[in-house]
Amino acid sequence: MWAPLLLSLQVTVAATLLIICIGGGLAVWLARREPRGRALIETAIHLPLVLPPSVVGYYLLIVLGRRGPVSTWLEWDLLFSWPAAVIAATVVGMPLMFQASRAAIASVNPDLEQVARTLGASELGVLWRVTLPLARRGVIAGVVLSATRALGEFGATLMVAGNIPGRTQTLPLAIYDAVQSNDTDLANAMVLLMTAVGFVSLWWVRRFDIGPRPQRSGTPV
Amino acid sequence: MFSLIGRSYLPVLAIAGLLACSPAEERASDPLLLVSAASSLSRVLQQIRVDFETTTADRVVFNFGSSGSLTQQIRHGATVDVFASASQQYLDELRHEGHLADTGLTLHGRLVVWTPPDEEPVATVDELTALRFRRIALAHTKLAPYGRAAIEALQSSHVLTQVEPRLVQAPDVLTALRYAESGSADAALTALSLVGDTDGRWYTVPADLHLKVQLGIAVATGSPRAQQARRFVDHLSTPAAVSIFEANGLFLTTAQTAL
Amino acid sequence: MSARLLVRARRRLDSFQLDVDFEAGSETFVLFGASGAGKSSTLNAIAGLLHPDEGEITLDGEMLFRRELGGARVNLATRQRGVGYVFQNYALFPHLNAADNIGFAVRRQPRAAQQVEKMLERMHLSHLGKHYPHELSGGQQQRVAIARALAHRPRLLLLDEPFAALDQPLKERLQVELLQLRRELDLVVLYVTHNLDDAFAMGDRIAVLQEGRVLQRGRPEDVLAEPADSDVAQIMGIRNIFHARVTARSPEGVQFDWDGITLQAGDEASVDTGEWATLYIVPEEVKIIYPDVPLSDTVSHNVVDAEVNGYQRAATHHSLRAKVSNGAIVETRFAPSAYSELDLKAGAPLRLALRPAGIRVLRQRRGKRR
Repeated sequence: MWAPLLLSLQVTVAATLLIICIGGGLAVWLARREPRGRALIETAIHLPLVLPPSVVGYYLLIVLGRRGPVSTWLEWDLLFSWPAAVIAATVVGMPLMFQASRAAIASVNPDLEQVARTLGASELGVLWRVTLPLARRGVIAGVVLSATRALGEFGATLMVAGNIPGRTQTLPLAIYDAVQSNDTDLANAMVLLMTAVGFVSLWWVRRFDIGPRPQRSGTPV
Repeated sequence: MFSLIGRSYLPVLAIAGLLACSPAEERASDPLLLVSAASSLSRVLQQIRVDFETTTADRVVFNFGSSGSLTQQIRHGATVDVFASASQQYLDELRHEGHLADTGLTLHGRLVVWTPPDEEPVATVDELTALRFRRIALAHTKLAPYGRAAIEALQSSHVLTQVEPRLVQAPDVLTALRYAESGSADAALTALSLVGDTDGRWYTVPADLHLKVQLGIAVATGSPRAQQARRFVDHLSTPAAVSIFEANGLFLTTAQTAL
Repeated sequence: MSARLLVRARRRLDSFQLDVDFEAGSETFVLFGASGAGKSSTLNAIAGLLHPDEGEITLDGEMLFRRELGGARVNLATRQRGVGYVFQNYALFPHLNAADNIGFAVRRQPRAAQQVEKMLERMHLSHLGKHYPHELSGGQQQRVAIARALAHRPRLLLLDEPFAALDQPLKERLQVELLQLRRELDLVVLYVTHNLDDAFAMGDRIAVLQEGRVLQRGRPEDVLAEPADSDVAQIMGIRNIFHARVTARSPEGVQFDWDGITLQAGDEASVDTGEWATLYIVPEEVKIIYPDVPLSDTVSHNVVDAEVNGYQRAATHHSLRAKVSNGAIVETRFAPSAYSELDLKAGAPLRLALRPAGIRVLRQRRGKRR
C-alpha cells in the first residue's frame, strides 16, 4: 500500500514539473502570439482530454515502443519503467494546465507587459514580475487540476508502464488490482488513502495561494 | 511580494526528496523475473510463485492486465520474461511474430455456472431457462475464450435462443463473476479458476458441451533473463505446480519444456 | 533649440499607412489629432513596441532604430531605449503598491529605496507609498504613473492622453507640475492629445496628425492662426471656413464672390480667377461696427449686414455668432470688455467688417479624400 503511494507521488511530482514546464511554456507562447497553425497546435494539445485513455495509451505505446522514435532515435527503452508512467500522466494532465493558464495569461492587460518593457524588464522579467503574478490564480488552478489528473491517471499508464508492483504500479493501478483480485480490505484502504491524498493536496494548494491576501482585497486581476 | 517565487522552500525540498528516493531505481541489473499475466490468473500464479521461490533463488514479479493489452505491449517491444495469456490465440499470434519462444505450456480451464449463495444452484445448463434468472452474465463472446465457450455450451444444450435476451456481456470473465456477486446479475457463466474463494455455489459445465478453453504460458524471446524464465516455465509442469493449477480449476494439456 | 529626438518612420497598419517625420528638442512636443490618426502608433514606434517597416529614430545622438535600404539595421530593445512611457489608462501594476510600482525599474539599483522615497516626495505621494492602485484616486494614479516612468531617469518621456480622465482643476495643476518636471530633468516630452486646450497648455510646439501623416508643425498659436490647409483647420476645430470663387486679382490682393457678397482678401494666394477656394476668416479679425460711429480705416472693407445668432462667454474671451446676408454663420471673438454697450441679444441687427488681413486662403488637398 505504501509503495504504490510513494510511486504515485513520485510520478505525480515529476509529471507536474514537466506539465508546468511544457504546458506552461506552450501557454505563455500561445497566449500572446498567433503562429501559423495555432489552432492545429491547440487542438492537438487538447486532444487527450477527449480521447479515451486506451487511445492515448495506444499512441504512447507506439511512440515509446521498440519501433517508435524514442527507442530508435534516443535509444531510450521506456516501456514498463516509471518514466513511462510520468509521460502518460504528463500527456493527460497537460491540457488542463494549458487551458487554464493560457486563458489566465491572455486576460492580463498587454499594456502592463508593454509598460514593464519600457521600465527595463527583460522578457523573462516581464513574465516573472508581471504576467505570472497577475495570472497566478489561473496558473495555480491549472497546476492543481493537472496534478490531480496526473495522480489519478490509470488507462494510459496501464498500457505503457504496465502494472508491476514496486516498479510501475501506481496507486490507481494497485486499487484496480486489489478490486480484480477481490481484496476488498486493501482496495478500501487504498481508495480512502487516494481520496485523502487528493483532498489534502487540493486543500493545501488552496491555502497556499488562491485568493487575495487581506491587504489587497479586490485586486483586479 | 511575488507570490510565485518564494514563500517557502519546503515544497521544493519535498519534491527533491521524492524524486531522489525513487523506489524504482534497481532497474539496470534487475534480478526480478517479470511475468506479464492475464488478471484472471493472478490468484493461481501468486500461489505458484510462493512455491517456486522456496525452491530457487529466483524472484518473480507480475504485471497483471488484460491479455489483449499485454499482447500489444509485447508486440511494441516491452521487455518481459514470461507471458501467461488467458487466450491461446494471442499466444499463437505472438509466437508467429517471433516474440515468444516455443518453450511453454498449455492449460485448459472449465466453464461453470455460478450462482449467489442465496440462490438455488443449477444442476444442468438447461436450468438457466428458469425465469428466476433474469440476467445472466458472461464474458465477451468474441474476444474472451470463456465467453465463446459459454455460447457454445448454451448452443449444445439447445437453450441459446431462449436465454439470449437475458445475457449480459462483461468485458472479461472476472467482471462477469463480479456482476453476479454484486447482484447485478442472477447467475454468471464464468471460469472454475475464479470461483474457488467465492461465497456462491457453482455447477461445472461438462467438457463435451464446448470446445476446450485453452490458456498458454511461454517464454519471451526478448527476455534478458532467459535462463530464469525457462526455469520458471519448467517449474509450472512439476507435480507441485500442476496440483496447484488443478486446485484452481486449471488442467495441464501439454508442456514443451526446455532441453 | 537643437533637436534631440529625430523620428522618421513608415509602417503599414491595418487601416492606414503611418508615415511620420518630425524632430523635438528639450521641449514639450504635442502630437495632435483625432483618435486613429497614428499618434499612439508613433509613440509605440519610438518606445520600440512597434517596429516601423522603414525609418530611423535617434535620441540624443544614439540610434534607437534604423531600417532602410542599404543601411545596417538597428533595433534597440524597448528595455534599452531609456524611454519613459505613461499609458492613457496609466497601466499601473495592480499587484504592486505605489512604492513598488515606482521602484519597478530601479529595484536592483543601490539606494533604490531612497530613490523611490525621493520620487514619492517629489510627486506629493509620500503618504501613499503602501497603497495599491485601486486605493488611489485618478490624479494620484496619474502621479504614480509619471513617477514610475521617471524613476529610471529617462531622457524622453512619452505621454499618451495622460490627463483625459481627470477633471479640469486637477488637470491644470498636474500640467503645471509636469512642465516644471520637464525643465528640472531636461526631458524631451512627447505629449499625445486630441484636446486643443491641452495642446495649447502643454505644447511648446505641435504636430497635427491625420491618417498617419504630419500635416503641419509649429508653435500652437501659429498653427491655429495659419492652418496649412483646410484639413488642419478642420482638425484644429477652426470655424469660419467658407468656399468662394475668385473674381479678380490685383496687387492689393484677391477678390472673391462669396455667395453674393464680394470679399477683398489681403492674402497673396496662388489662385486664379474663376477658381474655387477655401477661405478662413480669423474670428479675431471680424469687427463689429458701432452704428453711430463713422467708419475708420480698420473697418472700411468687406462690410456686411448681419443679425445676432448666438453669444458665448468664456473666461478669456467672448464670442459671437452672426448670420450674414448670404445666410452663412460667421464667428467673431473679442475681449470680454469690448462692445459692452452694444445690444447683442439674439436677432439684433448689426454690421460686421471682415478685415482683409484676416481672410486667409487655405490650400486644398487634392486626391486624398475618399
